[in-house]
Amino acid sequence: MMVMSEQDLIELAVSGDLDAFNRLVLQYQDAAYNTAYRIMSDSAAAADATQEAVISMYRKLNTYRGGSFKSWFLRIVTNACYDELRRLQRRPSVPLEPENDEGELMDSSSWMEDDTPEPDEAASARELENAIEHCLENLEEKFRVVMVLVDISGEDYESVSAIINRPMGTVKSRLARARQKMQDCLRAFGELLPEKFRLKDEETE
Amino acid sequence: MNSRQDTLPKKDNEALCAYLDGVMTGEERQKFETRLSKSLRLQKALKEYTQLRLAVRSLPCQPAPRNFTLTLEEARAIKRQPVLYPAFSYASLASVLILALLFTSEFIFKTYSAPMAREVPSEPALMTVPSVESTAQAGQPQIFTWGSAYGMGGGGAGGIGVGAPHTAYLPGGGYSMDTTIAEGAAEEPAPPEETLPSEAGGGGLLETPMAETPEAQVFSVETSTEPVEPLIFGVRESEAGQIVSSYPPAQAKSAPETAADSQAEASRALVPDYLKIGLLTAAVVFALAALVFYLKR
Repeated sequence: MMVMSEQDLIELAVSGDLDAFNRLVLQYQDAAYNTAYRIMSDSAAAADATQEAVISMYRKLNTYRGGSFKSWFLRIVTNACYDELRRLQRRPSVPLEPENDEGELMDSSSWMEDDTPEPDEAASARELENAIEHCLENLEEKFRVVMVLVDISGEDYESVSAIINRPMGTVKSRLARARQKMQDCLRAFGELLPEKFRLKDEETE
Repeated sequence: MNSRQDTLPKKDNEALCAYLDGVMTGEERQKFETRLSKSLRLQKALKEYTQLRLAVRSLPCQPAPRNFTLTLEEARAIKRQPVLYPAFSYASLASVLILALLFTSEFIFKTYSAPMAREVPSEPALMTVPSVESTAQAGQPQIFTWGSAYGMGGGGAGGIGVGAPHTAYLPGGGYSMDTTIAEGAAEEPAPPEETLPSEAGGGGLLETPMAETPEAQVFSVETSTEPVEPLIFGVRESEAGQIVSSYPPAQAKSAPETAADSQAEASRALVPDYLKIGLLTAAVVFALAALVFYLKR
């Protein structure tokens, strides 16, 4: 199989080559799904949003005007996430949560907990990961999207500005607010985390 | 926990993030580093943000649970829809807009032009003013419309509230005024007025004494035989609030006349009805088609 550059694949895809399009999808689907997952905080909703984004991208291929293809794709993914979030807000789904012996709903985090013992290090890392995910999930949508795009997807400010269709100043401001809120949230977990992973106040002015 | 105390000012917070992400210009960076070296608070915040960024970036990448590639059938279906859905949407929108435009223009046309035409009394209506004789015979109070049938009224010259001066328009802009007093209606005839010579187009007055009219005769009989009850604004005191005189009701029109009238009314409409109905139907059909394609997406 001949190795083709991204640009060649894009050109072929724009001219209607479905194989070239699918190869581009395969190349970026993990990044797209991961971004959607971090924005949506739900695997099924993230998968739906990614599929919608792929369909939308295929439809809009002729509007691609160069630049980073990944950023362009992530822009479509972000928009699909917004649509999906709006749809979920209109029609909220009832989670299938187990009930305890008394017929009361159990807290999802506890019933989903993996009871198998882990080494201390791995367990601590897992705790930090849960704390970050929790704080990220509780961020306002507009702050979460910017933080995910910059800190998780690794997009620069300019790309994020284009993706969320807001000026650069807004991106800077939202990112600063998002980090501050994350910092405040993670401090609450501070005492629960192992020392190595704490975001503690070491010095004072 | 002392998050409130530790909260950086907005400007510092943004500058810190920009510094951390390397989006500052050389000059901005230099300035910020100078400040940073002097402020322990900023140094602490920078350390925390660096740690936070590392922690967030360390989150494991979630791999796609399946492939999101498209099959040939899916691709064909996707390519078809975008053409049909917007096409029907725009067609529906265009139909509605045209329809709205037609109704608006027709409404404006009917509101501002048609009523004026309708308000002008027709010639026969003017001709059917009841005569004084008929009202006198019916025992109804007599209402005199001073000269209305002739287009202009005026007061009696020298008479004591009697005698209708008849005016007649003359071609060329001149008009004449009749100052003749009905026989017996006035004790003293009005002295003859000076008559200006009539000049064509000059607006001069031409005195044209009119012959004794039947109205005048009837009036004279009435006034001479029975006393006249004082009139307040032309209405007897006992009949205040009642309709004392009116034009005779319009004659009922025959069916062919009504049909002809409605046909004439319809012909005055700017847009024929079938066009409006057609546009409305098209708008509904296109909107339904667009909705179907939208739901299928």
